[in-house]
Amino acid sequence: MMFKRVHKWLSIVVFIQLFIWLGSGFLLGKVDMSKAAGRDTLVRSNPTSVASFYESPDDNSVSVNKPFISVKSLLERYPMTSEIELSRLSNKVIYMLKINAGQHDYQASQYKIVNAISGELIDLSTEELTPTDKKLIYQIASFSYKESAFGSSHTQHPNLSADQTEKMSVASLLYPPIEDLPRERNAVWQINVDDVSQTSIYIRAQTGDVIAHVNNETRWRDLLLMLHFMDYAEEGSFNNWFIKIFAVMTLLLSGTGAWGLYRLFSDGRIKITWFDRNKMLLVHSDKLPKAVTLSASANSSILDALSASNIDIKSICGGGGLCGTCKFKGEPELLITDADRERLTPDELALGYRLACQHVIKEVSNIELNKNSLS
Amino acid sequence: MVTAVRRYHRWLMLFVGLQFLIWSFSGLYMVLMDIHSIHGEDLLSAKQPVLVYADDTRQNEHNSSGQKASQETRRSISVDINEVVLLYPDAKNITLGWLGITPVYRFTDNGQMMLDASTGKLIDSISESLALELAIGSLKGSKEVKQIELITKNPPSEIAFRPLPLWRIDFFGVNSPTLYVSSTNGEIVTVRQNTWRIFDLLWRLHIMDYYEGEDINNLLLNIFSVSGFLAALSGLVLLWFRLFKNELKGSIP
Repeated sequence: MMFKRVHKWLSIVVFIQLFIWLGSGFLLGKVDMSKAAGRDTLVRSNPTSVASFYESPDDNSVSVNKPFISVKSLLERYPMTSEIELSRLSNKVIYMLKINAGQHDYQASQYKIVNAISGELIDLSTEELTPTDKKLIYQIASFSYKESAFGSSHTQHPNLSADQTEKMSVASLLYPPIEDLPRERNAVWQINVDDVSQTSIYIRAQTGDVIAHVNNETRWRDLLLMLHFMDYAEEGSFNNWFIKIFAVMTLLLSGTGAWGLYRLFSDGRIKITWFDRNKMLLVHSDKLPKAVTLSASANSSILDALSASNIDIKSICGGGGLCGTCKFKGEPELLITDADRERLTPDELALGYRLACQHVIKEVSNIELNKNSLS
Repeated sequence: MVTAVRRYHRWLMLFVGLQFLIWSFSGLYMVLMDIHSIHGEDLLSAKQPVLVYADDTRQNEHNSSGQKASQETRRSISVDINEVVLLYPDAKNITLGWLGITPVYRFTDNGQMMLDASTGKLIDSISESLALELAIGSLKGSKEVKQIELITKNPPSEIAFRPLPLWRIDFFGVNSPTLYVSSTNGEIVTVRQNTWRIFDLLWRLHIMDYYEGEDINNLLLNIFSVSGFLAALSGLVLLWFRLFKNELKGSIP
């Protein structure tokens, strides 16, 4: 009977979280995952060839013969570089350098952005940005935001249209922990867009990458995930000690429950049959005017059969074998279950007293109920 | 009423009880195993050596101490990025990085292209021996190769959506690590080891999507989570009765 006690105490601790798990798990299935990933508004610019910059007519400083800063001079300036990428940041051509911070693996790499044409370092990770860099942040943000999502008809242009600046808030530099991005460990720029789903555009300060468009659907998804992962410290992880302890307890709760069900089967108190024949039971009691004959399915418990026939036998726990109130008298040869032994005295057992919740109709044909057992 | 609730609790749990066990067991595994180690982050050495230009005299200065063994054989760059752009005007996403001991330019033109940055020659595809060398070079710990095969079609489900062809290299070891190396650009595409494979299997069982392992809104899961909710609710009612509505409190465990 130990498992019942364990089952009860575990359920007291775990039950709220159990409902949270079931509820948040169900609701997570209903989240529009594509919208939550920001795909309604986020556009990743298609990679473009940079050769056009050799003959770019917009920029007078660039001629066909003037190449991008050479790899050699880049490596002279940044000797710890382990990877170089030539790419676009908004309308600029840039080198993204991956710099080894040290000799050891645990020392994180860092990135540097260098203008591929002028060679000047672009540092977006300071709060006091030059007006050009500030404009760059807005350009990255507005390039990443789908035109159609604004609901206006203006065409995309490298320079911000008045329309967009109005709808985008002043960029602010945030440091972790960042509410919308629990996993982020770097400084990011946040630009809030005045749209229906309250999109925030996040740009990693070190690399100028658009990390995410976070909208209300994203926030709802993340709230559900936070609840499902018990990530109440908002670390963006499900490897926290809180959930580990609860997961162990929940496994024990399920295990003790499964054990209880198994015992119900092994004692013959629950049986799954396609066709259950009925069986007659004769019930005697001082409290009843005369003996009652009832008919119930052979595998139902005596307690259930009596209640179904409006014979109000007492039961406090409802058939858990816990309270010992649903006593009846049958044949002394009747099987004695664990609960019978625990709740009834040896004398009672010898006289044929058993608990009605522990036995099924087919075991008996004649039972007697004390008036104390009837309510 | 309690009798009825207890009956509901039993019969509902007969239906969803096994799934409760699966949910709690798979959930426990997922929260106990560190997700970064599941993703194989401690299997691979992330550190890349620094790039060196051919006539850079400071080469030894920067590379001598930490990365000695293969440094002699590691090659230096003699082709500038501007030459690449002029040779391949349509090149996009040009990166300069390492392919084993060779610095290479990777870019997309007509598909994935790779250019040896020390000789300027195009590298067609990754040979078996090079794939082995790359895999062994980036794996930490056990380096005993069990088998290598080139996957050109019918990829195993663990690399379902990744572009083929890929070299699959299985290593010996308790965790049976497998490295997938792109045969077009030599990058380590992904890793799998037993702890991750078990994680994937348990994830499928957790979300009850036994085919794709992606749909967390499938009918089966919905049916089970709703009936699971009812089953737990009936349990809560029983708990309530046991704690507060019990005239014989003392005698009941």
